[in-house]
Amino acid sequence: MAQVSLNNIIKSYGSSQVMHGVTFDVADGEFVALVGPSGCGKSTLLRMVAGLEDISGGTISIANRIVNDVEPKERDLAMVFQNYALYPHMTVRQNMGFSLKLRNAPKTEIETRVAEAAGILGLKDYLDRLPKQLSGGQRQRVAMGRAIVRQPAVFLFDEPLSNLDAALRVQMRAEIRALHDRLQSTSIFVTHDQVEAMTMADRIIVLRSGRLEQAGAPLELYDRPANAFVAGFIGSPAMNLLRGQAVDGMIKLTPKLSVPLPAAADGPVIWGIRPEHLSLVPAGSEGALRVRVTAVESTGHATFVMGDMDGIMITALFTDRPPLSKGDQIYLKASPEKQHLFDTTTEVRIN
Amino acid sequence: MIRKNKADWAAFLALSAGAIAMVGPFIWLISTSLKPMAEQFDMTLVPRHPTLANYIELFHIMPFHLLIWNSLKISAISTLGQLLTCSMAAFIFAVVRFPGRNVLFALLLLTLMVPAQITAIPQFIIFKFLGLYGTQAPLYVPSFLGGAFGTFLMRQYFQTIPLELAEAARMDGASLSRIFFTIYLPLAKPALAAFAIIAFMFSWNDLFTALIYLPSDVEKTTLTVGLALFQTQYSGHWTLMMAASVISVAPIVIAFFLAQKHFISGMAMTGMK
Repeated sequence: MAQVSLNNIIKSYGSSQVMHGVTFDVADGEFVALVGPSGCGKSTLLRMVAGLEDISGGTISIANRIVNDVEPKERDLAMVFQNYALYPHMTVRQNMGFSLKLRNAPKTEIETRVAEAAGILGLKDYLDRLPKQLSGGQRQRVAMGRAIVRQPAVFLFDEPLSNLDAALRVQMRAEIRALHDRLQSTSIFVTHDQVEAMTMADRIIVLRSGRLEQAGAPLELYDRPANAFVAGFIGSPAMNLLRGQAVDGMIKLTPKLSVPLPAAADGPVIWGIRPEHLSLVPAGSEGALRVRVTAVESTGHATFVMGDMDGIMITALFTDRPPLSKGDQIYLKASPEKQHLFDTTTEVRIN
Repeated sequence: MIRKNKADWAAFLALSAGAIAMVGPFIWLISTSLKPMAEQFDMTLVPRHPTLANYIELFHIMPFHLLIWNSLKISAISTLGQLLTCSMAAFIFAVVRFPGRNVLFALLLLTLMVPAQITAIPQFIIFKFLGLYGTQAPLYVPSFLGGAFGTFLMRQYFQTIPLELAEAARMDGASLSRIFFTIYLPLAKPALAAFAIIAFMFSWNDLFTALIYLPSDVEKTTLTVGLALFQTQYSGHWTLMMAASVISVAPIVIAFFLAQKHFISGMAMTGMK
């Protein structure tokens, strides 16, 4: 088991720098998710930890040992790839035992460890099959089995669930988390899916364009995003982020439309409110926003209402089923304590 | 078999014509080789007095068994050398990132443009210097020094193998040579089979090099040289000529049938990317 520390990590390809000094620690036994839109550098970062990618600047340490120039196999970590990267010509047993075989582990030890991993992952009946004879979920399990037989100090996951269908993804999400809890190993999990990050991780690290935007517990990021980017990235449907001018305790969103200012500010601001923190109120209530419904979508347990208020689009989410349809006139009110306020230029949180 | 429409018929006819054009001369070749001298200009496909006399006479005239053995040996060693060295070079080009990789690969491909005749003289001087003139070594030693065509072919195939496999193996603790021998080579069987046939055929049919390095020693030379000598001495003896030709193409045909499945899928796959 080990702690992983990244200190001021820089990555450049030729003259273009793609990683601008990322620093964070992953505690021993912690499950950390790296999230961000595609191209944010999360996979590159993971590959640098793995040793598959050179580090242009900064240091990476695993268990208090700087590993910048250490070969991947010497770093005591295992990686699960997005496309599983199972050896197509080897059986499940050979796939899982490959790393031990390379270490010249005794045959009996390989057998027991593979059997143990297969037991945990429910692969006992498939040990003599080839990867192509397995379903997507089973392949995913073999990829994990290959990682766990090595008993590494750190597990790295590079978007391992993105090739699975929705139902299986939910199931594997729980399985990976359960496995982590059972093995108590340090895990770093890369994903572009913020739901995966929210549900699995102890801590989430949000990256954008090679910079760390925020690190924190899932609900902390959800409740108090440090900036407008994190606010918009975490949560589905996304937070409403509306630009306006803070004047005299009010935010002027349009010449005709204002909301009360939730914190002291002046000048241009971004006002944020999550769809579920908007509620339906009777016409004429104090602070109510008049909205014309442009679309209603229901998933059964929740109803999304898209509306237009004086030219600005806003989304609200209700868990009861308000009898609304397109073209209706409704009034929405934002819960006062659930509002977010960000600086327009720096995007940093104000309240 | 049910023929559905005119298009099928047209395709059938066109393919049949093609097949006859391809296989026809070959059948004629075999047929003539089985005819006695007197029948050699008869326009019949089935010999009236079929005989193996031509084949027997062949071996009296020239030590054809030695020539066949020499050709087989040289072609087999060459093929092995090409398979090994080309796929090794190809693996490095496909998997390892190093500065100048693309320039080097382009240079390698450029050598494809250089005809063998141009390098023949310097090569001759080198082998003469090494004291290998008159031996079979110059016919197979160059095969162990790689080759542009094979490297290109194998690299294209290796590139279709996801790079993550190499990375996963690296994480598992495999060295580069281990990754090559236990992951990439077994996965490249179709391409290897295709390349093996091509390399074997090339070496088997090679007259030029054999003529240069093994000029007159019939015991040491290859079938192609033997056939050429034979042609000049026995011109007009078509039945004999045809028998000799059958012997020279037989191994290739056999090798093709053995590797046919791999060869076709290999060619199809190497053509894709």
